[in-house]
Amino acid sequence: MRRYLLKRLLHVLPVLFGVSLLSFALVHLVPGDSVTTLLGTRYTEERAEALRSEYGLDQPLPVQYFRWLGKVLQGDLGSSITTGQPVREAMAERLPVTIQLVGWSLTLGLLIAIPLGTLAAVHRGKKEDHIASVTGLMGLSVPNFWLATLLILFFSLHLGWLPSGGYRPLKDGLGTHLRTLILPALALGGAVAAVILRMTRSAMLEVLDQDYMLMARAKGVPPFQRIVGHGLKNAFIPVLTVIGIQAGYLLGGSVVIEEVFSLPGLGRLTLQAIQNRDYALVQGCILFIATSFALITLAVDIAYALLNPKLRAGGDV
Amino acid sequence: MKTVLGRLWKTPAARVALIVLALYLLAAIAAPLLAPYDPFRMHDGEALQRPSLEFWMGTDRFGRDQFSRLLYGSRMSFKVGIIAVGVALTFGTTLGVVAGYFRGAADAVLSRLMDILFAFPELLLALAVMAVLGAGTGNLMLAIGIVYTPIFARIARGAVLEVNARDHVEAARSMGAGHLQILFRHLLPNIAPPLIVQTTLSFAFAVLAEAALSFLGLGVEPDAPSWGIMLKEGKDWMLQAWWVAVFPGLAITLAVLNFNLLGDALRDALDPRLHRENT
Amino acid sequence: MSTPLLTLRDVQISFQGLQVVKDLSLTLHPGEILGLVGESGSGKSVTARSLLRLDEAAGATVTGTLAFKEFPNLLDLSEKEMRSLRGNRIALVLQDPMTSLNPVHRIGDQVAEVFRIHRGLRKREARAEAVKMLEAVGLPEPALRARTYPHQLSGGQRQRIGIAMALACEPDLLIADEPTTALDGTTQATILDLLRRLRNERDTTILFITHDLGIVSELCDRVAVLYGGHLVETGRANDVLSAPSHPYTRALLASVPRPNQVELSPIPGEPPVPGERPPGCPFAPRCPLAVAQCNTLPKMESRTGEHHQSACWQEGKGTS
Repeated sequence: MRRYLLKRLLHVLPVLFGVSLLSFALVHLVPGDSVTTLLGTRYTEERAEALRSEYGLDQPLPVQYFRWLGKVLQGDLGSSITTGQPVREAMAERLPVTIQLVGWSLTLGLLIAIPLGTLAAVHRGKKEDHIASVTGLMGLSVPNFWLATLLILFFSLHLGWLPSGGYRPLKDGLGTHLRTLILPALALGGAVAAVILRMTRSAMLEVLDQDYMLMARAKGVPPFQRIVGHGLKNAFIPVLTVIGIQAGYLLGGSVVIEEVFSLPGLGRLTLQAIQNRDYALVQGCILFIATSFALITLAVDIAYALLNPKLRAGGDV
Repeated sequence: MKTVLGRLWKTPAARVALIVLALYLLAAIAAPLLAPYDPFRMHDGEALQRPSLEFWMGTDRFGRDQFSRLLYGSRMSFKVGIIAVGVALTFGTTLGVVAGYFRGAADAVLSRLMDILFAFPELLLALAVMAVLGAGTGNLMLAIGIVYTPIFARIARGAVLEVNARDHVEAARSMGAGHLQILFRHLLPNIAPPLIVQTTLSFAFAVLAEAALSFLGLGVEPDAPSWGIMLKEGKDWMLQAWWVAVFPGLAITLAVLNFNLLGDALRDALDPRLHRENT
Repeated sequence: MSTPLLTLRDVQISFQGLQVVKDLSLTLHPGEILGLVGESGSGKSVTARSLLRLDEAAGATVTGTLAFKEFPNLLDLSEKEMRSLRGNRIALVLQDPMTSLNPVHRIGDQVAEVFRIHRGLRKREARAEAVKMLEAVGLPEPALRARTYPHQLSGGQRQRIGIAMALACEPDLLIADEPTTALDGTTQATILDLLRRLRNERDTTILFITHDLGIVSELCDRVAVLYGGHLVETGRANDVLSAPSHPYTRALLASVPRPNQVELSPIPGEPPVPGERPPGCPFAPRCPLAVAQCNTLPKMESRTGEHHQSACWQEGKGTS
């Protein structure tokens, strides 16, 4: 297992390097003179000078990159051009919201998808299977921002049960806090649930065919324990890898959902930064989100290695 | 090819998908003929009208006929989809084939490059590219194309590796066939199936991506008839005029749904050796 | 003889309209090892699994009488009642030990599981009993092995674990479905020894399914020969193998390659596929002694010697 983990780690490092390179390049790919474009309507000689020295824009590109990288590794991501607030601070404020949104979306997705996917596999070909498959397909096809709009229409405007936007932190009370996150989590989690449902179903179908499931019946194992303890435990392993990929969708989708529900998260910050041409902020956000995704993928790989006994107890996959 | 289409036609789900998508394509191509009104025309005093005989899907807040805009929206989606996926398919396949065929340094570099692109969540990458290039339909197509290039590269590379090792290719090589010959006569036809499947699936996502980015204001031009733009406007008027948001959303959902169905069916039809779930 | 442990009477098994086993009647006596012999497609595995009623969920229809100990007919029991029998009074060992053990459970837990389900033991006690079972089947360092996963062990070791799981609750009947077919020669011998020893120690009745007549002669007390879903011959292993009375059994014995044999004599033709079986004797199409009579009437058992029965119009005739 150690060998496998080392291999994965060595794989991630060049990717992280490339991500940082790409994030850096963003600013410099903007057509036109960087400084003028960066400052746009806020151009003054003073600001231009400050920007030039901060970014070292008169230096050759590689030098600029390494200066920037050095600062980043020390935690300095520059300051927002619009507000002057340090990028790191702005992101830190928004991060918890996004984590909560993504966390709840994934949780809801799993809670819906795994039981439904298992049911579909166990009752293959029958109506439970058809319903689950159709639900899965719908979840994949419905645009999350449209789903969000529909949810708001129904639960907020029509029924008045839930707020149509805005965020309340945990310290305002668990109930209040959750009420602001349910609809967003449903909207964002829908597609995730769909993918996991399909994966669970197909993984369970394979597992149910196996001899050890027959043996479990032959030993007199009760049905629920057999399906979950003997079956799902095996099926979950391939499903785990899918979850890792979904993290990417969740991070990207958070931009849209946070916008629709006016949640003060990292995604919304990124969008606003782009709209305001606040490139320092854009750079910081994109670098952070992409790095997080790469690390999440690594974490999923580690979890996979821990769960798969073949990797755990010596040997390679 | 004929047998594949034949097999597809037999599957009920695929048959429906093909018909629906053909209808969408018809709407796209014949929009100027089919649309009752000019999609840009604002009818004075007819803002936010419910669906009626005059305006089949109602009007938006500018008094524009939604049905016409919907038809033209199909045109936009197909335009963006075809070009974006075309770009991704061409570039991705080229890169993937080079990586998979020549291996060595080219493979190492290209694979790393694709991995780096994969490390960005799709929407985020598209957003970033749009941030650099600025909004607009042309830039949007390029952005989506860039985002989907890596997946085509990966599939092409994998397929090339597998096909290259097959006996008939080895045989051709040992008989002195040159690189180009092998590439065009042996490799490309055989790596086509997974690429075709991915093209269909990527088309679905391209439609979604265009809608999402336009919805955020970073896609096509603000007054262009795009389903995403329509949703953006409709969102603010949900209580008073539900039709503005509901119809474009349905259009997108049905399009994506059927592309997915078609993609799945193609996957089954093109490679019977793949694990298939039979009822 | 003593009261039979298991009596099958007129058992029919069909899958989605296709008849797989027809008019099967068989008895098993306590403490004996009965070999159930047949080619693939003969219905032997299906018959065995029907005793645990495992195939009904997959669409099998079983009719007839399955009398087991105090149960006049297993087919009358509810699923819940069957569950309490499985792994407890009747146990199963499958052919491929790699696929029959759950890859994500430690092997000690897999054995302990039967104790927890049927004896109500708690985790720790069940594990302790499991280790004892592992020792009983001859696994070295049982306590250590208990914590390993199936892929870390050899085929022979895994099959021992399968047997440990099956015999843990001291079942009255053990069904072994070709347990040695997937193993190499030497391992095969050790497993057979193990089964013999365990039978002697625990007096477990074993229904041993195989296509290998060599195993039958070595291990089994009695043998039952299946062909095309019908029982064609039963009797003591020695009797049947030395003086087979059914043409199929004779042909089967003749087809076993012997050392120094130059020409092989396989049975011409193919075994029948369920649904394509002839109305009369299933072996008639390939039988050298077939007459018109064989094609019209289904066969009945007739007596050829004490406890040696076969189902053939031509019984006793013909040379081996």
